[in-house]
Amino acid sequence: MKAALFCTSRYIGDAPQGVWPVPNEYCDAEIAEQSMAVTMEQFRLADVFGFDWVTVAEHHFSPLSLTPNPMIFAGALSQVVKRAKIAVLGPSLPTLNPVRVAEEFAMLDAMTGGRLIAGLMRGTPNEYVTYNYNPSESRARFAEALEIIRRAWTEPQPFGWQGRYYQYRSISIWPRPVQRPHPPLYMSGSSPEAGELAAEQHIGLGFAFTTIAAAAKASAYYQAQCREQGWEAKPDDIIYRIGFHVAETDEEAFDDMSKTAPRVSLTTANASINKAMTETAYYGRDESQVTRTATRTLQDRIDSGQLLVGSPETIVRQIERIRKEIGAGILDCPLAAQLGDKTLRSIELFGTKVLPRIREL
Amino acid sequence: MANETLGSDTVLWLGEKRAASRDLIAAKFRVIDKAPSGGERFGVIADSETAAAGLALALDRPDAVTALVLLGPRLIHGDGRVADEALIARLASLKVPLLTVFGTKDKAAPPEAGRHYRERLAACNVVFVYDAGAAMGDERPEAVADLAIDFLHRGDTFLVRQQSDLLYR
Repeated sequence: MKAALFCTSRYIGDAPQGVWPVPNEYCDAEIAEQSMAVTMEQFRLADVFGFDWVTVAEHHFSPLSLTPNPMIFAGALSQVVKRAKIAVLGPSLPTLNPVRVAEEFAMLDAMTGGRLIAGLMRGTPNEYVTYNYNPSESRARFAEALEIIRRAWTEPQPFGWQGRYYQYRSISIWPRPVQRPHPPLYMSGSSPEAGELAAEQHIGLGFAFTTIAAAAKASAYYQAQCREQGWEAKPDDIIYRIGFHVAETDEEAFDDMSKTAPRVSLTTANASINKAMTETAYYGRDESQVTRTATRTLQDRIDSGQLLVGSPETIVRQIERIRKEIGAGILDCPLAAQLGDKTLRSIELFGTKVLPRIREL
Repeated sequence: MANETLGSDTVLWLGEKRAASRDLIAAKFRVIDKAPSGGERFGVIADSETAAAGLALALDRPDAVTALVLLGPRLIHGDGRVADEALIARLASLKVPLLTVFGTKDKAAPPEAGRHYRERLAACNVVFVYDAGAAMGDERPEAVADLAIDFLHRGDTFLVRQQSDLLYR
């Protein structure tokens, strides 16, 4: 298996929780700068300690993430992370200009000598408020934008696009991506709709902040759809995103977790948005969405596969379950605890004690 | 939208007469089914079956044809192979503004064919109609008609958007 370190570049100062958007009067510029520097150092260490990828993502209007444009952070990372692949997982595609997304991805691929992993996301529901798009059109916009991006990467001559949601008269991006025919593409989603589109488009699929049981079901559906489309999804086509905190012993790891701030969800932070999203059928035929955001105890979250917590030995066993039940070949691991040196140690332990033991899974 | 910048409100429709996009174009242009012989100028729209005739007409009568739109042409295949070498050899000398249109789901005239027209005639415009196959005029009539109408009105300057994006004044 492979593993990625995922950092949202969380704001390390005090800020309100359980609301969205979060008033930016609480954003101290110096602390924001420090927060991003901390993230940069964590990524640098991940590269040193053998993580396969480093991952950035897009979220808006919240201290949960200071990378509303993950492409910019990835550009900076290209100068610091020398070996690992840089995974942008990803832009909230339906709310962005797909030609711009294709261009920025191609730039990153050129700047990293072909180390870009391109993920395309539909985004958490609040993103539709961010740039004022109708969420009920998000799947259709996503599917069309994905085709535009692939065309922009591969067409050698200028072309126009007469779409449903997008119209362009002439596209010919510079630079072209380094990887041929184009950088590896992933999308995310545990709904059947996501599995069907990923299979049809012959791209990888990621499951984020869900449970092993729900992801196993979604993964089986995706793999069946791929076979129906005439191709076989490999472990490297399946990403499972799961938070982690490793310490020398289970006891220490659990003790660390008890000192961390409670988990906040962008999806449920604004009840009006969540209500509106449910009404627009944003979640599609995804039953797991109803239960996965419920409040759970730490042990519950470990058991259901929402967190990796413990000693390296314990975490390896947890990962074996993910490999076996979901068939995922790539773990995308956000930091479950921001505890300064303890977090840096967790990255080191994962890289040096966990990664070598999951390589052959 | 600017009108008749190419000097004609007449379109010779060489394509399938029942295509839904034809009716939409007929709301903006006088649509005729036979090329006039006199000094009258006209735009030309051809589909996969009539692309060769449309191209030959534009090559032979550059003073009469104001613009040429080819919907799903199969004159050059996706892999670059050419059906009628003699005709395609003349493409580079075309004097009439040309728009080639390909449905993203068209297997017979795939989007990959577009680049080959462009390689032979740099001034050729290539546009992909999303989620349409060979019957693009029925599958996405508004999308096809709007594109063709804009090109017949403005020729190569259709590259620059004229439609306003103003929300409120």
